[in-house]
Amino acid sequence: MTAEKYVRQIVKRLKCSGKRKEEIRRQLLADVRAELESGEALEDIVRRMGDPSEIAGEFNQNMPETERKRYARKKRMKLCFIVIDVILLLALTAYWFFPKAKELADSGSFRTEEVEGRAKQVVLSLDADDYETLQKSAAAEMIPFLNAESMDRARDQVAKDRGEFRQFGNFYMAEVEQQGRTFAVVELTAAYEKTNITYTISFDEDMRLAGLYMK
Amino acid sequence: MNEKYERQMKKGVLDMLMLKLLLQQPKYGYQLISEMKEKSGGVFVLKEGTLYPVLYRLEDEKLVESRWSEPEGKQLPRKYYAITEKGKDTLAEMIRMWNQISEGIERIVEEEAYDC
Repeated sequence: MTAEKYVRQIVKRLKCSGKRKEEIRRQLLADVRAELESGEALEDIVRRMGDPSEIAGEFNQNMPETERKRYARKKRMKLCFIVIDVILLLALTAYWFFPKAKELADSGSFRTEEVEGRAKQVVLSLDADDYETLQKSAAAEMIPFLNAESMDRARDQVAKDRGEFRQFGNFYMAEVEQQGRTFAVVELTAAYEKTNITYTISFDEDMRLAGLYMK
Repeated sequence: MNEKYERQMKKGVLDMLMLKLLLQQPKYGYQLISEMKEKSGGVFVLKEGTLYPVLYRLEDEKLVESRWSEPEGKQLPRKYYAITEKGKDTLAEMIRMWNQISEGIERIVEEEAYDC
């Protein structure tokens, strides 16, 4: 135990402004050093002065009203800052999680023509049951679902008998950012002999098939 | 003696005693603690946790003022407290009040002792 450490233990327990704490630290240290200079041992000084929490308690009990108010105000400000920090953190987290979209034409990561072409390719491959082609250009998480069984089940829910493909209808394309990742999302309508199906297809930044939804 | 009563009685006169000790010359914390103990015959044994808040309050009320000394050779800087003119006037008033109060106390205490 050194004089500095002893005084530090007292000061950290004080309930007053930072300025006053620094002043008390300097004064206590000067007093302890003065007693050491006069020949008293540190152990005796500590024994006489008392336990740090005891001394700090006495200081806090006798602190002038102005200091107590300053401390209370400082505590309130600190609490306000903590609350603001928590709110900001929650807002940033929410912002990071929620998808942000913009027109694909404004995208710096995707080319409209390429995305449109790839989306058409996906639909035509599905219609031809060409899952091998689909799997070759799909993101890893999609591959387990790109098979006849899964796709037939999905298509049966939408339109069991759709007939032959006729033509593509409207295209809506956007760049979407979510959880730090960027996707090109295409909603396109395919007209069949007996029905229309709307596909929502997404590609990751490497133009790998990352999502497929049909209705 | 019951510590609570002792503390309460002493607390009331600390400001006056502190100002009185500073009347002759400026002093620093450890000096005030030592003198308070020596001159009171051991009745007033102050700890730093009591001394300094009293000094801060007296300073807030402009009854004392403080300054850090310049370090001289190996001697460490110390914070000296000095009584102000306002402090001297207030001290005179406090001593007058104390004499009145202690006179009144003596009358009651002596009467009680006489009856006993």
